[in-house]
Amino acid sequence: MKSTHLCGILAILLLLASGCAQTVLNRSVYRLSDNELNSPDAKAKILKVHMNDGTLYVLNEWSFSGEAEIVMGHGDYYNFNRRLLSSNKKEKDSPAYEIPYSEVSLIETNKLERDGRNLLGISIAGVSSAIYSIYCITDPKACFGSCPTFYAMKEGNWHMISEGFSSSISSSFEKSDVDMLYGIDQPTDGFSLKLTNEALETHVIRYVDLLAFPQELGEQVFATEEGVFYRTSALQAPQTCLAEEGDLRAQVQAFDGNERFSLTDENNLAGKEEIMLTFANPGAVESGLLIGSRQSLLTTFLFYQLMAYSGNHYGHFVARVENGDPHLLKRIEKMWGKLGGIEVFLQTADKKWQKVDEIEEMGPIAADIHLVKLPPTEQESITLKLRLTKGLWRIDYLALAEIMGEETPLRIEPRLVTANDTICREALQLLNDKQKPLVPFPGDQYTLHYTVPDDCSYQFFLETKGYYLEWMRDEWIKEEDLKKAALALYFPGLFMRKAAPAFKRAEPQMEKLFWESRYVK
Amino acid sequence: MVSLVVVLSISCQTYTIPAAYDTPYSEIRENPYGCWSEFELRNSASKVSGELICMEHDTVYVLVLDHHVQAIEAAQIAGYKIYTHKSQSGRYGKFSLLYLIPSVVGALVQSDYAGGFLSLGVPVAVVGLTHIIIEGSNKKNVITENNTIRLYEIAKYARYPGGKPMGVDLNQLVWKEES
Repeated sequence: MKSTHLCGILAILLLLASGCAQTVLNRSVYRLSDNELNSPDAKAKILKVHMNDGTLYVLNEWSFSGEAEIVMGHGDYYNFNRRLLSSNKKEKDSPAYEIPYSEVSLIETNKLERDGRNLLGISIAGVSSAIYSIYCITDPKACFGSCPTFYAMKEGNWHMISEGFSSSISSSFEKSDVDMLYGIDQPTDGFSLKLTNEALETHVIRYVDLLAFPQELGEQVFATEEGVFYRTSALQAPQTCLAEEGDLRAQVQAFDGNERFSLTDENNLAGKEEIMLTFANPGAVESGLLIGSRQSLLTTFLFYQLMAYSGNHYGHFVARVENGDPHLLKRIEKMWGKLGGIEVFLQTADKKWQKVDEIEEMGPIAADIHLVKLPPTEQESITLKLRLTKGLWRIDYLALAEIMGEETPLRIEPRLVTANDTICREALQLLNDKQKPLVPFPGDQYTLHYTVPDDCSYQFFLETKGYYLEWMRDEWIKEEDLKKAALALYFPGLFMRKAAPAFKRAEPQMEKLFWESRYVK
Repeated sequence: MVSLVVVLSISCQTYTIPAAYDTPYSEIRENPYGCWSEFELRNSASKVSGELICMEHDTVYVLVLDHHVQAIEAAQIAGYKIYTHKSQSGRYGKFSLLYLIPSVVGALVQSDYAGGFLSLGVPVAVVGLTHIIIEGSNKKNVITENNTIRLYEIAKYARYPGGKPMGVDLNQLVWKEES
C-alpha cells in the first residue's frame, strides 16, 4: 500500500479518535467565605457574580481589586427574577460596575469541555476538503484524470501496479506497452489482475498478456524501452548520485515509492535539469542502467489544457490525425518532444558526453523500471548524466546491472474474465482476439485470470496494446481558444513559457489532489 | 450525505423539556437561570419537573410553574436529572454540512466529476457523523443520579447556587421565556 494512502487513513483515524468524547459542562463556583474569590479561572471570559439579595451580574470583562475588596466589570445586571435591570457591556467607556465583596454570595464560571477539540477534528477534515473542492471547481483538469489502470496482489492486497499505453491518446498513437510487475505476490493458484477504467475516457484494449520468466536466485529480468528483455545480475547502487539539491542516494537506492522529484522551472515548463551518477565498473561484462520512474502530472495538465483550448474543434483535430494528416501529427509529436524523456549520457574516456538512450514512457500513475544498455567502457568507474525536464519525472530507482543475456518470455493470455463475480465470455473473447478490442467505459472493472505453469517461480511483466479517447468536458469547452491551441502546436517552446505561471499555481497540490480524488463510479 | 442529514435531523430532536431551558451553546456561559431538573420521589409515581431554584438545608426548591415553587425534602428524592446544556450534535452537523457545501457545489457545477467531488466530501461526512453519533450517544449533557443522591453537587446548577436569597419571595418567580 502506498505511503500516501497509509497517511490518509491514519489522518482520518486520528481525526475520528479526537472526537471520541462528549461535551461536558464544567461549572465552577467560588464562595467568598472560602477566601477563593481571587481564584476563578483567569481564562474565563464571562464571570457570573451572584449577590446575596438574589440579583446577578453577568460580566464579560472583569477584574478584582483586592485592596478595595471590589469586583469591577462590564456586563449585564439582572434582578432576582432575571429581568435585565441595567447593562453597560456595549459601552466600554462607561463606568464599570463596582461590586463590594461583602454583598457577593458567590461567583461562577462555565466552560464547555471537549467542544473545542471536537470542532477542531471536524474543521481539520472540513477545511482541507473545502479548499480542495474550491480549488478543483476552479480547475478540475488539475484534479481528476487517469489512464488504463491495472491492479495485482501485493502483500495480500490489491495494489495499483501498472498503467497501459498512456501516450496512446487516439488510434493513430496505438501501441503496445510493457510494464514490469515489480514486487507482486507469487501466485499459488493462478494469477489474477484487475483492469479498471477510473477516468472519463474510453479505453480500447487489444490485449492484456502476461509475460513470464523463470526466476533464478540473484537474477532479475528487465526490459528496455523497445521491449527487449535481458536477464541481469549483481545489481549495484550508485556510488554517487547528485542533483541540484544534493545527494539523492537515499531516495534512489530501492524501488519503494520514495521518489526524487523537482518542481518545474517557473519561467519555462520545458526547463531542464541534470543528475550525475557514478558506478564501479563491473569489468568486462555488458552492463545496463536501471531507471525506475514515472511522470509527474505535467503532461496530463498540458494534454487537458490543449483539449480545452481546442474546445469544440477537438473532434475535428482528432479526425484530421486519424485521417493521416502528417503535418498535425508531427506538430503534436514536436510539442511532446519539447518536454522529452530522460536522456542518458555516458562520459567517455576523453571526458565527452555520449548520448546512450532516452526513456520516454509516459504516465503519472504507476512507476516502471527500464533497462538502458550501456556501451562497453574500460574506465575504472562509469560516470553517467541524466538530463530531464524539471518537474516532469519522479525517479524512484537507479542501479547498475550486469547483463547476462537476452531472454524470451513465456506469453500467457487470460483464460477467464469476470466482472462483479460474473463470467464475461465476450470480454475474454475480445482480449484473446487481437483484432477486436475490449472497450471499457468509465467505472468498468474486470478481473483477468491467468493460468501460470507451476513448475517454478516466475517473474512477471504485463504487455498491453491499445489506445484511449479522453472525453471532452463541458467546462473545458468554455476555455476554447484556438490561438492558444495554435501557439501550443506551432510554437511549443513559447507555449511552455506562457503556460508556466498557470501550472506553477497548481503544481504544489496537484499530485496530492490527483491521488485523493481519482474518479471511480 | 443523506445519512448525515438523517442523523442531523435525529440529533435535532431534543428532550421533552421546555425549549427555553435547552440551553444552546451561545448561552451556556451567561445563562442567568437555573437548569431544568426532574426529580423522582420515593413515595409517588409522579415526577417533579421545573427550573432548579436553590438548595436550602435539606430542601430543594423547584419552580414548577410561574409563581409556584415546590419544595422537596432530600429524603423524598429517589433520583434526579439535571439538563445542563443542549447536545452539540446538531451544531456539529451544521458545521459538517457547511464544510460539505464546496463538494456539493463542485458536484453540481462540474457534473462530469460529480463522483470525484463527492468523494472529496467523504472524510468530512465520516468525521462529522462520528462526532454527531458520539455526542448524542451518552447524553453527558444530562446529569443523572438514581442511587447516590448528592444534592450538594447539584446546587451549582440552580438559579441561586448560594442558597435562598434573603428577602426574595419565591412565589414571585417566573420561568425563563423562550427567546
